[in-house]
Amino acid sequence: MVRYGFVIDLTRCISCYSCVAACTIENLDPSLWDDSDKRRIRLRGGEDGVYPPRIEIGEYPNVMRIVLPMPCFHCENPPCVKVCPVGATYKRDDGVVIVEQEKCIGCGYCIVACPYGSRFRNHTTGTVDKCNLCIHRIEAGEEPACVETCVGGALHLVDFDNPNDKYIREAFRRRAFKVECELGTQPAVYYIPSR
Amino acid sequence: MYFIDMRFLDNVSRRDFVKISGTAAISTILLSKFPELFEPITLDAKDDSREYTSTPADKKIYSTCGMCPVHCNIVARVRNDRLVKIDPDKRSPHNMGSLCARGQAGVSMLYDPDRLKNPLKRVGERGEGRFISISWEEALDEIAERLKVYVDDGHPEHLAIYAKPSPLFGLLSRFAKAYGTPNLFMHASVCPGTYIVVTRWTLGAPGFLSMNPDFENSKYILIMGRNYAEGIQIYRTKRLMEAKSRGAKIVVVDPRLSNLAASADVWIPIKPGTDAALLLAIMREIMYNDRYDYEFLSKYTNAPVLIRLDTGLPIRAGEVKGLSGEDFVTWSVDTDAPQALSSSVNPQLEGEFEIELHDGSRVKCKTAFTLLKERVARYTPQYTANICGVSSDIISDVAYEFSVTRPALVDDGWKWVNWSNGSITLRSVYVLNMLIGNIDKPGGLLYTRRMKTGSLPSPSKSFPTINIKPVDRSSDRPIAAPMPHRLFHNAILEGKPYPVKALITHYVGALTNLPYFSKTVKAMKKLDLVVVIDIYPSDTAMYADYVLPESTYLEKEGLVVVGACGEPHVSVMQPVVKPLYDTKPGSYIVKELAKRLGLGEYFDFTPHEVYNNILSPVGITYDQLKKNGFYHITPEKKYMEIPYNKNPPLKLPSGRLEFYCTKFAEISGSIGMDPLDVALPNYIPPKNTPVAEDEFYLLNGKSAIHTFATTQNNPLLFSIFPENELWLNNIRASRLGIRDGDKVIIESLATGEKTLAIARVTPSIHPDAVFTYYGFGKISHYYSKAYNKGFSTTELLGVHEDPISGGVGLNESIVKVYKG
Repeated sequence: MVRYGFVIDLTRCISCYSCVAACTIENLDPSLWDDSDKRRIRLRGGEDGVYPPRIEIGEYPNVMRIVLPMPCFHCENPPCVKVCPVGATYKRDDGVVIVEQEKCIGCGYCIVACPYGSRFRNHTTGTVDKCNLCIHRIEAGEEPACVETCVGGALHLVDFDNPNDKYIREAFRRRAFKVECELGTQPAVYYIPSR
Repeated sequence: MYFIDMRFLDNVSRRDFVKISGTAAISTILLSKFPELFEPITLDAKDDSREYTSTPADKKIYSTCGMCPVHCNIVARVRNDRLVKIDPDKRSPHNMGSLCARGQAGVSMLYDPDRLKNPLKRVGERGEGRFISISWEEALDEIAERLKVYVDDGHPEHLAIYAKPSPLFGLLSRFAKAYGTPNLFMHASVCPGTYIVVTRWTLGAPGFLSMNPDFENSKYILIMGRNYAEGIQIYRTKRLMEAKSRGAKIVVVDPRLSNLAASADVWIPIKPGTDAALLLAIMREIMYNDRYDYEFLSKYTNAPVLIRLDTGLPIRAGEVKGLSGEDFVTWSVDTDAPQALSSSVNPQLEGEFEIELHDGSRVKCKTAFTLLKERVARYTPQYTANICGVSSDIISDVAYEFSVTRPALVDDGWKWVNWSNGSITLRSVYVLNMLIGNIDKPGGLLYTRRMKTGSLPSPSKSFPTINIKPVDRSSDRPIAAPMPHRLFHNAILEGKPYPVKALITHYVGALTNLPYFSKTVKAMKKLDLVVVIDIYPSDTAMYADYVLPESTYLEKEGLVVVGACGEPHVSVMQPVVKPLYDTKPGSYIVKELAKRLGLGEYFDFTPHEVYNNILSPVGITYDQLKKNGFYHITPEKKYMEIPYNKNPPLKLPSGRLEFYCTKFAEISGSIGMDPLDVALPNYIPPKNTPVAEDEFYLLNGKSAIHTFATTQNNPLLFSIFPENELWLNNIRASRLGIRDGDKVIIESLATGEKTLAIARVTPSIHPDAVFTYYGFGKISHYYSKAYNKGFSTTELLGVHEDPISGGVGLNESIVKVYKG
């Protein structure tokens, strides 16, 4: 069995947006490329999707800037799945939360239900769109587009059913955190804090 | 899956406070983002909607990225003659399996409807941007006819070519030689000019990126103003992040909290233009605590060379009684007498000596090392803190840590030395590296190993002799790098030293990269003929008579000798799709123009002959290269080559690494400076400083999203970074009554121009500086997205030439900022 997720090492994220660019070209119709609202992965750090990141903490000269690359969290307990009236969105055995395009009626309930803003409406398909962990690439033996291209080497695809996974051990050791929002969603994305 | 629940929020210690407030801040943002609920739903779902997603069945073509001059290795995935995705080439040791946002967005550029689609001819006034489409035949015929005039008049030097460094540069250079003009320019003075001059005369290293910091093995990495997170060269950025994970300490000195500074261990927000003082303070710590590398300095550098105190120049053997020749002189510990440098054994590194000359008179000399030691004496942490505007604790900490950690290195770079004192500042970087003896050692500053390649096939006919110097050469800048700003502002505009009447530009924006926009525009209007070769109807193209559309790197064939990789590397550029529009490769344009000018014999070769000629010393053929995508040589000896076993690639006056820069001292007279001021590391305060409450240095730099001024209209990159803002320190801003998001007017004291901008009020910039990303504020209305977005910096920047390298002080202009 596998259970996919991400470990994201924030000490190595340089806010270069290559994950966003790679994901967009890989997964979205060209007519959506110029629309920063339609993204399967975002770099949360202020105004959504727009460079440069701008959450800053502290006063000059002791300032810290925070960014968070956010793909879908592929939650263990996904609120989006519960609200789907037609069963189009579900969690697969390998942990990936997907939207089945043929079944989706585009009602948008799941967009509201997701506390992380991971879903959006794709106007070219009329359905809801989200990160599917590039399962088509994983199945072909490749890494997800964002993981493959990451310049700083911050994004890692991990298998939570593999206790020897290098990056899961790293996450343990370095006190990784999840963005839980006290909602009990149990995301499958762990962040290694930047300091 | 519960086993990994870290309960991050449960154990809250005081140290964790920042982390938590960070996470809390993010949660707030997440929750404040409300989805768009009531958007209209389009139900015409396309059957082929998944077609853009790459599949294993895609045709994969190895090629080279052309989005910036780093030239990473890529794999293009093509389906049904459409490029669907560009992946990084996982096998490549050059980009190590990664691509930046720009590289990924190559697809978006290829299919950008705003690209140039066919040759254009101007019908309106210059700058109006009114064109008609014409055929290639017409365009090339007409251009050639007009270019012929200058040759027929006997003044081929009236043509200038301004081009970016690209694989086409070689052909353009051949064209210029055949045509008979010396005026071929690249953008040196507004970019790496200072770097080229300083490395050439200090380390004998040729061209830019000729030194390669060995992040892999370094334990303490001091980065001066360079920004690997935004001026991305994956080869270095990745290694730097690896070093960080390995536990190396990374200290970034930058007036602004760049994205690199934000992820570094220490950010030193230095006062703009004072970097050299900080370097001198570190030298002081090393020199006065005897932590320098005596063996390295005395064996491989000219630190022990004796300098005459009366002239400031090195004493020559021919002047000294008992010695002869042109050699330099050191003082021998063993014989307690002067000796020639080339046969120097056990020289005194420190001391003052009286040397008897041939005529019996005596002169006082000190070693270069001693002169520097005396100079740095006053750069105590307290004294330096006052200059750099940084607390003295930080300075003494960094100086101490740097001086005791080995291996350590100071990174070089060029954008941050775009100051009129830039050459001397950058030299201080290299001298500091010499002091700890890290040149070409593991964890130090390595010489870039380059591929030995062949050249273009030699022509059957000899080239015409060119008796005239390029327009930027003058006696007051004897060793300067090419100065395109002089081409425009002096030669074209004022006819000095002689007029230039026609201009060809290749993929370089004279209006977007040269300072003093208004002068550059006047120059463009004054020209008789302007030909612009580009892929976009750029700002510069608006001033062209003819715009020739070049095929993008995804539509043409080529060979790239990669200079940005630390090790020898060549890679292939293959057409991954057929040209989308009526565009041609640059090589076609150059060759066809040459043919029409009767210069065909100089271009009597096929592309494949050229490629194989270039590759012949490498020992592979172009076809082999095509199959593999790239060819990389891992050098047998990565370390301890130069200067230990081999001389530097370019000859240096002393035959050793130049601790004391003999060349700078020799030319100091012609630039009106004192030899000792320029030959040894020195802090020369910037000429202009902001004085009034509303005055600032205008700094500018690169972002991770755009390459220079070329990608702002790329649909994907535009969506990520559409327009620039003016970064302004929050304390200074509140005194000026400016709030975040306010409209402000920036008034340049250098050019007198004003421009409107949006203020980003932030604690992450030095109070004396404002900053912006450059390349925005497009004036070409053909850019449907980028037109008039953000503001351009070139209107605000003055020239502030570095007298040694000719580099432009792009960060030295003072601006007034007030509410608009």
